[in-house]
Amino acid sequence: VSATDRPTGISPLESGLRELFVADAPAAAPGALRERVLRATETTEQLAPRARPLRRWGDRGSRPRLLLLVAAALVLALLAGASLVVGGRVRQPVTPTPAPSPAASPRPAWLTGGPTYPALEPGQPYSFDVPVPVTFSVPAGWDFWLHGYSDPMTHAGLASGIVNERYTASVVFVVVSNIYQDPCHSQKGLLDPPLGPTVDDLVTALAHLPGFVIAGPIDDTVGGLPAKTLAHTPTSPEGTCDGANDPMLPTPPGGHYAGGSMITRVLSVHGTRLMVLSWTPLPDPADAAADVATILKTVRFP
Amino acid sequence: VPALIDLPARQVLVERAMAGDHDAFTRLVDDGLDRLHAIARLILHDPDDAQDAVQDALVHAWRELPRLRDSERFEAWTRRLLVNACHDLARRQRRHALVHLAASVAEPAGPDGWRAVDERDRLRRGFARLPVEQRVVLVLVHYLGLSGPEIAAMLELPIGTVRSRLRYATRAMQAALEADDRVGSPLGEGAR
Repeated sequence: VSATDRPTGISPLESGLRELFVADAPAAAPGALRERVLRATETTEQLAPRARPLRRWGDRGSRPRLLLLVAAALVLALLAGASLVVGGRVRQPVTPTPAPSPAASPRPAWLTGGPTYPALEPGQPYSFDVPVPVTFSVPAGWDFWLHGYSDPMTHAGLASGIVNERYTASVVFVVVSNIYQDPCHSQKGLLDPPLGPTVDDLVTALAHLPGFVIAGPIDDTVGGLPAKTLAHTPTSPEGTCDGANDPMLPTPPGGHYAGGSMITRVLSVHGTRLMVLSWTPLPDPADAAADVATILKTVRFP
Repeated sequence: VPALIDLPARQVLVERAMAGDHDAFTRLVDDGLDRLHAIARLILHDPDDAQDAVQDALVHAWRELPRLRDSERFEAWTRRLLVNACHDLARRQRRHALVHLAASVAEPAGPDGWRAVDERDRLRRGFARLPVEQRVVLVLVHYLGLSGPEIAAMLELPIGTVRSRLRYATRAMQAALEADDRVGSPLGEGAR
């Protein structure tokens, strides 16, 4: 159901927002603004008309945001089944593993609460308490994204993550105990029989997901712990996946974008099987990948 | 704020402005400034930021007008430029949001933090906590009354993206209100 397509019913929240906007919207712009605009435009030269076709207005901005949805969808594709027991939500500071930086490490700031997407301070240690306690820091240009996110369709699985401010890369920590048979066709349901409990069980299942070109698994480390890493590159044309009615389903509205890769690292953190996912799509895979690598170097599991 | 100029007349003005006629552009500004300003105020909250965003958008529009392919899309185009300007302003001012996040982390929720508030203030605070892209879609839907396809056309986004943004925004708004119930402090006022 699309609430944006002429909704027939108005929820209390929607009607409240409408009243709020009507009340808060100023009836007229300040006169000084008009003068500012006209002065500024009078002294601004117009560009010459283009001799060749224009680039679409949305080309630059829409794709990264679409890719964000793709990233979210692929994360959520893996959020299913009965979740493993995860750390409690008691908000206690975690002492991070000392960073290699010679500078003194400040206490990590807990990333909890949502749903705002505040910018993160470069170099500042941050912590998630779920799905496992983890600390990390980020380079410039990254935002808090998800905390304690659970797939509402299955009410299982748990994820927390960050995203860059251009929505071209994300790093998400996820715990699941089952995955979809085919993330692009969620109606097929979850793996049956369900996924086994070990790291190898999940790695094997991920290595055989349909609809992707899959590289790996290869041996890796995350936060000093041994991990198996795979790369999934979607093969379906953009817009051909299901899940079109709800972004919480495995694929986003509009389908996924056949570019970039989801890198999945599977490891055991104090007995909990964790996936560390990163999406490094076009148009700047190199920049995004470099940022992700920088972040992953700082990951610690206290 | 109703449009003062009918569509054919506006199109003539747009085409004149595209040819460099600043007087025509001035009339277009007079026709649309109040609405653009209202949109920016709702999205950004801050009156100074809103004026900056409107100015940025209109200066951009003037400069780029000769390259506008379809004069009929002038209004949607300027709104899109305004939304982009709001994003840019918010991006430049992210550090404010970080301060408030730190405050929210440092202050535990508890019954002492709760206070009865007017429902509109509660909504206003919840809305202020949302990231700017979610505010944008809520304003376009619930203030301008645009449909999903209209927003998609205006912002040149896939319709699915618009729908999902609205869902995220609605859910985030509900979560913000719930958080407000628990904490009762306007932590998000500075979030942009």
